[in-house]
Amino acid sequence: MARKVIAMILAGGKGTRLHALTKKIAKPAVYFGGKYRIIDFSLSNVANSDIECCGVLTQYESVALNNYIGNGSTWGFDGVNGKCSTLPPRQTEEGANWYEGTADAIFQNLDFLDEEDPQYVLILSGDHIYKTSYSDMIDFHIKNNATCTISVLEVDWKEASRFGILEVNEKDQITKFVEKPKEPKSNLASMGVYIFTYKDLRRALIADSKDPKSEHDFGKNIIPNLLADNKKLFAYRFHGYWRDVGTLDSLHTANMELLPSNRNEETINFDEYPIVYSEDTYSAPQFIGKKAVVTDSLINQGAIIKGKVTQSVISNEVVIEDGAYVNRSVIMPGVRIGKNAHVNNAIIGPNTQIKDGEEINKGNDTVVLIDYERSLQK
Amino acid sequence: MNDVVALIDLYSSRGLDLLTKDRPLASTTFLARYAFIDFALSNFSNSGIDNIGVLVKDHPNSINKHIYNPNVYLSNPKTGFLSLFINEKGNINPVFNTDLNNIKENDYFLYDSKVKYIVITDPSFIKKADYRPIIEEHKKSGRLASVLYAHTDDGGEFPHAKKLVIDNLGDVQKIYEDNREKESDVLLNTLIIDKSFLVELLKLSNTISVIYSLHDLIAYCISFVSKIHAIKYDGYVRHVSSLQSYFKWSMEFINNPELIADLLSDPEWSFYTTTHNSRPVLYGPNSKVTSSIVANGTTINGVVKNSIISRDVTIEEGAVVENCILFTHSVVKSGVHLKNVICDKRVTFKSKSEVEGTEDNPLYFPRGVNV
Repeated sequence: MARKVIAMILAGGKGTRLHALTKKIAKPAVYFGGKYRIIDFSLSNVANSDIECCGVLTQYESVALNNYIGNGSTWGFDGVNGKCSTLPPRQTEEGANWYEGTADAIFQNLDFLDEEDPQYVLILSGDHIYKTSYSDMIDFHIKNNATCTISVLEVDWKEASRFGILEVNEKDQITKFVEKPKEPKSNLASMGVYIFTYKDLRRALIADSKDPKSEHDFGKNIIPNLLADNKKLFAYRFHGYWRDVGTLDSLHTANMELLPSNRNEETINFDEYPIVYSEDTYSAPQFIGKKAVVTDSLINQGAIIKGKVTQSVISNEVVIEDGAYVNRSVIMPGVRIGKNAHVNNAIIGPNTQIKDGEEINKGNDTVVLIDYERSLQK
Repeated sequence: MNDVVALIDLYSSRGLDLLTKDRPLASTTFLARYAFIDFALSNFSNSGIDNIGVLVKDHPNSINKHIYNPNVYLSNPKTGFLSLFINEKGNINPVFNTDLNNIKENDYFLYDSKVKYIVITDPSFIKKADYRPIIEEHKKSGRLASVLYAHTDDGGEFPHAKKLVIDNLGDVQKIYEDNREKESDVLLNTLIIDKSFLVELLKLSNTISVIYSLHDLIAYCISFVSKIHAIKYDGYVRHVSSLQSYFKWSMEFINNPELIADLLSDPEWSFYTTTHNSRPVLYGPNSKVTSSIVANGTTINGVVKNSIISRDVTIEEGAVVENCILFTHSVVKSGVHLKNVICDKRVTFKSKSEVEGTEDNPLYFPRGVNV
């Protein structure tokens, strides 16, 4: 059955800057906001755009991510026309290959795309936090009869040299793409979200695969090559909350932004459409104890709070014991904070045990990570 | 256990006054995120019983809304089933809308040759029951039917439940009614019966005018047909049979939070429920919450004490909620003080006021009202 749009989500990244959080799971599977995983946002966005077919390209520590995604039922991809396939690298007649770059990952799955026969392919990253429907962007792409449309964010001029920057004409047609320019001439940063007309994408990927000098990357190779060929590429301006949570600090900050005292009009609002879907655990209801103090926090079902929690994000199955104090911290599922322990400015990885009376980062302003290794030591 | 079919009998639950005016007890909210039927369904599912029929007496919409997705409850929805059994003839003449007639109307599961045993239970008894040893004990007893009972030191805790006399062979001698505070064996309205015997009894019931309900059938069976074995159940069990007992057994979890860990957080025995994509609970800078159970989607910036707060509730700064059970989408505005109140879905408390019931007689506000 021919489809109008297929989404391909790049979820193979290791996320080395998240240190031990990504030791055993890929970055898109990292927990966020007490209940979610990072990839929930991309998958929900795809579902909310009425796109029924989705491929998720996994590579690094893919087992947990593959298990989590399953048949995509969490996001509704198990309907009659739905399809959600995890696509790790595979062995073929030509041999076994890892994905060598973002473009190579899509190239190695051209057979998956060919079978679905889409008109357009939406390519996005599985590790960004934002809510959207891509429908307007798809309409914009079709109206412009473009080869490729890239979603862009207007960033602070001071920040522009950190991003891949697009220069555009008055119709927002892209004239130049520069990766991390020293002297940026535009503040339109690529969000790593692309819509391609499939036949053009297919041609470009095949040509790229034959170029021995290519790094097989959309930003470095495919987009500059299409511009050099005078293809029509457009920039689609995204407005609203968008965060890359690639470092411990940015992951901590983005979690803190969800708290009532830090919210503003732009902050992601989970109560409003589009809805972010996530795995709902079979947890007990959340219980707040007799001596507990809880202010300015986001706490998921299954948590048991007996101590004090301020400005923190608490996941399911977390226990915070009597007399413990948790401040400005992100506590991932299954963590136990022992009696009279003190946790400040920390990210505590899943299933970690903080001992009774232990002090973590007390009085410190920099964010620390207490990781999986500890949970194994108990 | 594909040789077992389980039936959840909504005819045997008592109503909870106005709380069950528009819904059966089975789909009534319990502990912020469950409905009573979740406990019965999860017990079956965790016991490996994947063939489940729900004998619906009334308000099928409410039940359907809660259990529409079999994937939530069953291990394998392809090999098993979760169906609403509705007695359509019961709509024509309510006198004939009984559990027995419902089973006769929906008897297709009795023709399945691989089915050997039927388990029928009442969701108003909340328990954590593994049916595997129970069915084994039934098989070993050599009887054609068995009932489940619990021993209690205080029969007054089960005022609306029937009591048993058990003979020295472990069979039921007599079923009787008694709500006094004394040691007794409480009938948990759970029947384990050989399919062939159930088929026989159903035929028999057509010929005997005093048999209307399943309970009548069991009583008749004990007196005239066959002995019924009594199987003891030793775990958590509470009978929710009135608005007062609903309030009491809900608040027990607040007063004894170890129950949450023991009953609801057992990784070996999850209680499944339909979920709603709600975000985690947002606590504002001025929230003051103690001894409370809170479901996702809720926003609290006021004072909440000894209360059970369901999904998507808003409690504003300056509001006080004490000893209350609030259902989904309730709103408590600033200046409102609620004490000993049960409020149904989508109730909004707008104007500054003190609204107070008593612990024995909590005030109830029906669905959708503005106060």
